[in-house]
Amino acid sequence: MHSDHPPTLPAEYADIEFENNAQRLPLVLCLDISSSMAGQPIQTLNNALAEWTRELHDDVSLSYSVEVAVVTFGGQGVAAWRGPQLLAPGAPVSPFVPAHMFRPPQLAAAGVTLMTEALELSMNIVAARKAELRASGLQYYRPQICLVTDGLPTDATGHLTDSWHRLIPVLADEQGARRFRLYAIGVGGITDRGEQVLRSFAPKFNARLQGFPFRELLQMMSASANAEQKGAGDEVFEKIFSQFKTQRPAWES
Amino acid sequence: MTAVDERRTPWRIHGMSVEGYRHRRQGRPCQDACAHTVTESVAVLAVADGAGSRPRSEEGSRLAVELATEHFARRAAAAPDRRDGKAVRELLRDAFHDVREVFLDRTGPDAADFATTLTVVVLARGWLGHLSLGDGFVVLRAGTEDGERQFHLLPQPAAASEYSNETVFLTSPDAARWVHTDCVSDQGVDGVLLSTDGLAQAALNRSAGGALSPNTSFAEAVFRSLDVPGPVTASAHDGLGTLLRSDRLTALNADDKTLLRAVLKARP
Repeated sequence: MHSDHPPTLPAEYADIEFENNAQRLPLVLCLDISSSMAGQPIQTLNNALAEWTRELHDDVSLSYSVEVAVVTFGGQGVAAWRGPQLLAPGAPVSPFVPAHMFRPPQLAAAGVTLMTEALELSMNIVAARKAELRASGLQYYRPQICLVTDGLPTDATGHLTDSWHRLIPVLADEQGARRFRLYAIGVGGITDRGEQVLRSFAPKFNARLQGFPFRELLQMMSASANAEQKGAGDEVFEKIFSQFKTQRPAWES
Repeated sequence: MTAVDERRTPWRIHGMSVEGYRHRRQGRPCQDACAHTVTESVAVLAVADGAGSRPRSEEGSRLAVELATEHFARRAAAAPDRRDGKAVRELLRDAFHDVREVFLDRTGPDAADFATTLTVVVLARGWLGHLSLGDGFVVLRAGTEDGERQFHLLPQPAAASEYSNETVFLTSPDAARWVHTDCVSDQGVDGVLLSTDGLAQAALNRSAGGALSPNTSFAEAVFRSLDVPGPVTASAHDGLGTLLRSDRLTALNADDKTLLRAVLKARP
């Protein structure tokens, strides 16, 4: 761990035993890996995940608090990953990994855009993780879900679908009840209609970005995690997000 | 009521607030504060945690502990021999009311910018009074079982929300409703530790059901270092600072940290 802080305890306190009961901050990366992401975009995403993982490991405060889960929609349909490991559907294993132990999956682009189902899975794993944390007596911050896509929701055969409409009231309720913060980010050549979908999912935290700025996006998620730990007000999250949208570095906030 | 020489109190008192990892990285000041005062009849200890989201909360926490030591000591000095629990709790609430009134008066229309929690302990002859608003906590050392010193977490106010980083502040409109008070009249108390929530993960353990209890190894170590007779040395002071700033504690919580402790000086 890199820090200005003394790594070891003074001799007179060396016999203190600590439980690993840091307050947890569940973070879901809900990523579009459908066929339109093939080539450079998926490579950029993989590289950005690797670099972000290194930064997370180096951050003394986030590394023991943030727990990362990855959900993808694309080639395998909707899938949850526990670090680099693809979980079988319904596997009785939590996809959340403490940030200091997280290793990113190696993602490949293919298949259709089951965005609705992926968001539903993201909400389910967040709710399940909260229940687990409560049951083990651990405290937590408000979870973050980050949806990233370059397309429009489709069904399993790849046809555009309106199934995402069913999510709108659910997401409005969940966000109204502060069960998590949802960020919905459009990248690459996302269309106006794609942007509308994201706006209806996350009225406050949606964006349409040029290219595939995954590095900046992941850094914005870290900046938000930091703000969450600090107990920042909504205006701080909005500021971090608006700086990110204008593609200025999130850490300037 | 005037503060007196610390040599005249039966308690040895020492503590500090240090900036957490995040504030240090951002070059922001420590938003925690602690203070104590001793009078002829009582000692008063106070800790406060300024809200991370508020621009002037470091001033708020300092003002809160300063007012608390003054007003709680004044109220307690007027009735040092009060032992009835109900009367003590009334005294604590009256003192809290004084503190909040002056705090809001001094901070004026921007009071919310100074948002802070507040936890106070009054050590009088025969009783210990505890008042808390927000997520600070108090651990007592009292008694022995099978040769082991026993530690006790005083009850805390109910949690304000599902999330651990949300709490109630002195400036919250309904603050008085969230105040928690206790009166302890156990003659065996010989150690008291006050802290803000930055140390909750280090100093407290959680059972599977979420019930909190003191982390015995932590309490033992921080009391033991103050049990050394005589004034607190510079190296003991630095040692506590090093503990509070250590990576080990930062990994559990990157917030500012405060530890204010008192132990009974050895009886002659």
